[in-house]
Amino acid sequence: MFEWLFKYPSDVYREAVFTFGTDLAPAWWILLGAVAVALLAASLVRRGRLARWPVPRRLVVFGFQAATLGVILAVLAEPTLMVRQLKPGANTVAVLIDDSESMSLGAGSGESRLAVARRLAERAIVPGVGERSSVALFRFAEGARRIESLDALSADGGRTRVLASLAEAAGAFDTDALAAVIVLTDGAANADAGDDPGTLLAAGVPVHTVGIGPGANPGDVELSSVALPRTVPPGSEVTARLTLRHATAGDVRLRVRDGEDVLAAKTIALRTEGAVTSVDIAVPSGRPGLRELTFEIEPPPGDPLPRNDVRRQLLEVAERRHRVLHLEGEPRWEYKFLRRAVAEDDVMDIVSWLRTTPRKTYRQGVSEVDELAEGFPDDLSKLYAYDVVILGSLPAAALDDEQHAWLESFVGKRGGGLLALAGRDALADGGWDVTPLARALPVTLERSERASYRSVEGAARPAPEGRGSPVASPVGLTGAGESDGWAGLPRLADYQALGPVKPGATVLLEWVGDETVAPLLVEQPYGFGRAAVLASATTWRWRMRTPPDDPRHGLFWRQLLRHLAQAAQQRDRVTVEGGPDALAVRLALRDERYEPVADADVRATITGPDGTAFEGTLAAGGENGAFEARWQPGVPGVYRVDVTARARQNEHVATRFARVGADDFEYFGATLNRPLLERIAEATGGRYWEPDGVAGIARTVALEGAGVREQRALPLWDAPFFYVLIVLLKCLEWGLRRWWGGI
Amino acid sequence: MTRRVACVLSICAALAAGADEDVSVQAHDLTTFVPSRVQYDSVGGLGEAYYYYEGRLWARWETDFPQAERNFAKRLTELTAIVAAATPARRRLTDEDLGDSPLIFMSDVGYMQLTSAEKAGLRAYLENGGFLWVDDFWGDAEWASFERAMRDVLPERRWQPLPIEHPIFHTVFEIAEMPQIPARDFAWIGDTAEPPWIHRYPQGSLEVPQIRAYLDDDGRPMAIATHNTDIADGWEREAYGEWYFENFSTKSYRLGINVVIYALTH
Repeated sequence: MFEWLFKYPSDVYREAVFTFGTDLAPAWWILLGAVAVALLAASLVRRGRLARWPVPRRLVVFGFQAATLGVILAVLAEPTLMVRQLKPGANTVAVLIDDSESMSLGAGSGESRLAVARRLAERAIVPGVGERSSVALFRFAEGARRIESLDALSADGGRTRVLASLAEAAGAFDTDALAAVIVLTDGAANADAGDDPGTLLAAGVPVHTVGIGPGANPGDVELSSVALPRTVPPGSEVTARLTLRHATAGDVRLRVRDGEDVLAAKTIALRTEGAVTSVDIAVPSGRPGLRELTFEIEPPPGDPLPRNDVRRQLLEVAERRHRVLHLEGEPRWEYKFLRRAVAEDDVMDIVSWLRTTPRKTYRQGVSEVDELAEGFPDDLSKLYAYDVVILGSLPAAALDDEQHAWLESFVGKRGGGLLALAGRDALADGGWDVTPLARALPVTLERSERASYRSVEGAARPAPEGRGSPVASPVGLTGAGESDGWAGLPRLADYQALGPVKPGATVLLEWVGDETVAPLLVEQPYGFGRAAVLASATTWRWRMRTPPDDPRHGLFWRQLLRHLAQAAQQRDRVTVEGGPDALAVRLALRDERYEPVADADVRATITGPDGTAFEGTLAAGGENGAFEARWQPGVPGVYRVDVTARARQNEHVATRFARVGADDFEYFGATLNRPLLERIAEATGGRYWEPDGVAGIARTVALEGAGVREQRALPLWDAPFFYVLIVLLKCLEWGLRRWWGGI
Repeated sequence: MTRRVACVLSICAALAAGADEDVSVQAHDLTTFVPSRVQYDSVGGLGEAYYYYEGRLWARWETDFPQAERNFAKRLTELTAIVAAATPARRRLTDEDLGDSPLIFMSDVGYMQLTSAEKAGLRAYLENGGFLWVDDFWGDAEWASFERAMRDVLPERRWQPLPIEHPIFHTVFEIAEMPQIPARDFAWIGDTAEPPWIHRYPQGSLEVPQIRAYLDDDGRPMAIATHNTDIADGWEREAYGEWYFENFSTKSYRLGINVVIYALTH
């Protein structure tokens, strides 16, 4: 309608400058207009019938006639639109069509996504764009490749790199003559991690994205991600966090396998359609070595994409010893039984410092004669040598200001784990509410006149948000089920009021008294570390009032301290990310005080699945003390990466494993990724198009594109709008005069 | 004769019950250290399972109880960072809440006899990590009787003497010599060993005090017996006189504190 009335589409008007094409000087036009208006005014006054009308009516009729006259004069002045358009025949438009495997999936209309893309390109885009520019066709998946015909498309690309493919296509032309890039895709990019959009933006070519495919695959349940620690100690329990995207509701069965051995299984209730569900599952780590775990969900009936129900993850089971420092100000049974529980852990060393009398202390588990000889570690690096600190019933006044600052930085900067126990001199009662460490604790300590620590019985149970946590689950190992395992434990005999739980903190266990339920074990991440508070010091009852073969007390403590210790950062932190085709290796190097070490020589030896090895250097990254490198080994499989860093006469060596390449990448996240396509279009100056609207893409490219352009004048004198307006004005005038009796 | 024995026993039982305070069998504040005495049965009649002293009959288990524990608790709180309960606990080995006392004390065990249930209860208690301290029995016969009573508790363990270098002698105080504490009435004689005629025959040697222990699989004492000495009398009789306090009570407290700290830390 717009185009019929105004002769040109609206986007032409957006881009154009309006002007008049007549050569007559403006003064003549003013004179002409004034004469015409004067004649009109005279005619109104002179005529007999109209002259008898009231002045307002005469003015209305005068207005309509003057407007009609104005439109006629405007048409005579040759109205014109001045636009800059692509110069015909001088430009190229690149049309990229996603040829990855996900394009073979349904578009939601009965056709495949590739069929839709081919139809749009064939019938609308190529003919339209081809009127002014030459069209260069590309297929893309991992990269872009020029094709001569749409028949070359086959939807067989194993991975999709949208950004890299666009940049590659744009780089194939002289950018002065490249008017635009049009990409038809579902946007299901699965290999874009690390790709820099800068190359594409630097080309300055607008990218028009056409989104093809449904926002969800009906009936599909997808195992989107599996989060698992890279390295765990043998004989422990590791918790994997799984994320499921599902377009359907119902129960699905999850299994974790190591080869053919099923290590764990559970049924997951997917409660609502079109949602994301996260679930934790505990998996035994087993013996030392490298394991490849398979996480799989049984495809529910009607699942259209069973190939996105399986994920594989590497797990390094290795002995990494953790050192725990227990500072205690009061000899009490919790100290003894905690020590015993941890002593049974093969990967945990506990060093204890106990104040036995006002002037005497007792050390246990020290590895050197002078360890803790002065009480609290006398040097920051000595404190940082521990992975976990347990604070018992020790008044804050026992430490000086510097030591308090060290404790806070132990959690925040060093990334250690800290556990504060209840006690007569612990938490707020011990004056810890005014120390720097209070910031790290997951509760806001509140001091009151009445002691917050008291003798009172209550049971422990997992809090709703703590279920599934490795800390809350060991008690369920009795076989009686999680809640029964906790319910059968002896009641605790004390409780310390904690104060409000901080935002971001997680209540793992609850204390259930006769009348109240309160947080018992609370934790939160703080800085690089993690801090927890346990509001009781009588868990020893779980040992002394159960049969000797009951493992729950020991399991609880070992799992809690392992949980805190595993979160602790290592000084030389090496991460190796294996992607579909690349290995990204990163080293964050720290000295004994966890200050970044920037002047290091960092090399890596990468050994592939076939035993061949190559060496490379890690370059200093953007962050101080960080070294990074990225390799594309080519062959999929499990790679071993040995990193050696030499700095200040010290040598750090670390080994990691990662898998390069994975099956069925194209079936994960295989829905329309409209946000990505909109971001690309917006960043480059292009537009996002629905398939139904691509008819206008050619004109938009012509008007808004880059490339070689020319100025054009588009005459408007014959636009129907003017003549419709004249007729409309005269009809209105005629109608009013008829109504008022002037005709 | 039988009627006389029964009469004496019933009087003894009544006196014994009357001698205790009910509070010792109630639940205790477990945020504190609670000295706990084990009540057990002994074989024999008057002079064996019971004896007459200071105007009343005493069962063997209650020797020095509760004053020894009361004084010891007070000194623990004064001299260490331990917060001890003022009122001691009294438990039988079959009590359901025996585990609430991770350290239990038994005295005068030379005539002790344990039932099967008590042996099972003590075994479970020790295997859980509980710590038993047996005190105030002298000579070979009393040792043999005690060892026999304990044989079924942990049959796989053997009593082993602890050398003076053992950490239990050094946790807080440096103890260079195992103290021999006689009962108050014999302290004035000058010899720290009690006279043989008040103990079971054949007494053997009463001269050498010793700590003997059951060690667990990690080599930690789980039960100790302070033989040929009466450590708890040093606590109970601290107010007997300055001479007694300085010569015996201080040694009793030093060893007592060391043992408690050891039990609380190992």
